[in-house]
Amino acid sequence: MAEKHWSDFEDKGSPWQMRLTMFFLKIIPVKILRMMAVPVGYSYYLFAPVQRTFVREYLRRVCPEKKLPVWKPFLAFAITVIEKAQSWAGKIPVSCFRFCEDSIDEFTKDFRNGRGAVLVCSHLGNMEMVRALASAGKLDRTRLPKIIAIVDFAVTSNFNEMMQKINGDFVLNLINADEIGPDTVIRLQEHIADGGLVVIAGDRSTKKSSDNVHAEFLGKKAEFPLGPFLLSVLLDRNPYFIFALREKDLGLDAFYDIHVHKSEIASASTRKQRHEQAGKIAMEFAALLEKYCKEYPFQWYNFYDFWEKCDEL
Amino acid sequence: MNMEDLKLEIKKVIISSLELEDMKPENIVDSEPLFGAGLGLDSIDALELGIALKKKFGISFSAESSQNKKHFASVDALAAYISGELK
Repeated sequence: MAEKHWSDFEDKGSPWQMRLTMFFLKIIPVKILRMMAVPVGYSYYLFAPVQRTFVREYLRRVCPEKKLPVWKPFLAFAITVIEKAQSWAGKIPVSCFRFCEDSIDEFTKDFRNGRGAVLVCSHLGNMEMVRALASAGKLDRTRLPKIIAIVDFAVTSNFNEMMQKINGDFVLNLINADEIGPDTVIRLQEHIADGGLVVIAGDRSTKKSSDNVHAEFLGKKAEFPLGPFLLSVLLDRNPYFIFALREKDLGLDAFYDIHVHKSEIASASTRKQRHEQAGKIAMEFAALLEKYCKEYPFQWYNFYDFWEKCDEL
Repeated sequence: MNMEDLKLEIKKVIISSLELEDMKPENIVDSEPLFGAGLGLDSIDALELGIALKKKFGISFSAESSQNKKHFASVDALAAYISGELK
């Protein structure tokens, strides 16, 4: 099998699919939509033999002792798509989020003091629920958070406008990861200085190997992107690792456990030091991701060969 | 600052922020692309360079736009943009 990068696989959650899901959400009651997600998810499973292999490999690494059902992440993913749309429409009730005793208070304090932050999330669980942080009354109610999310699909300005219309409460701006240039970074820096939040996935490597770092993950080295971690070093902000994990993998009611972990950065004055710092944070992130993979194994939505290009240790 | 001085300053920022030790300002061609072909900078360099240029010249961009990218096409383009901003 030819080696394929994750970006070669169609990401099921691209703008037009999101629009379609949002349209369904308008005309079909959400409980029924969630039930419909079951056959949809199962068909993902049936008609995606390649992705199935990768999920099997992942599950074997998460739990070598026992064979875990491969169809489960596909079903969980289908439900997630609906919840993503719900979340974008601002329709996930606050009561669905459960905060854990971790760095949440620190995060809240930073936000209230107008200190912007870089939030690193992953494709374990539902990234969209990260925005729960904003709506859950944990933050300053008088000041809505401004969020820039760096995403891995082509974003059009139309799409950003559409989001604004659907949920005016939420000033969300999407930037395509492929189009990040020096101008983007300058904008992100201003956004953070202004107390804004930047959300970026820490588990999607770039096509260019030199822009990735190798970190131990579930018993084998895997590639993680350097960019998200370097960003927090360059912007001089301690990153927050955020996970929004469904309490039940497949339940019809959405209850999410929100985990927030603050990472520390040390000062770095040279490029080499900055890169070392970023690499260190990436490894810390990988270790945490592994921990949550073991706790919530079926909410893994990286349906590609995560360990591609790395040799068995 | 005249254009030539500005270009020299830009090149110095590129070299120091990206630690291109073997490179001298005169090695960077004003009209050559910085990214991809030409100088061959990549996306990680873009992060470093953006922050360094912001620190040095205080340039800013109001919104994400494909137009912004053009200002980083070459030293020439960057100098034109920065001189416009400094006015």
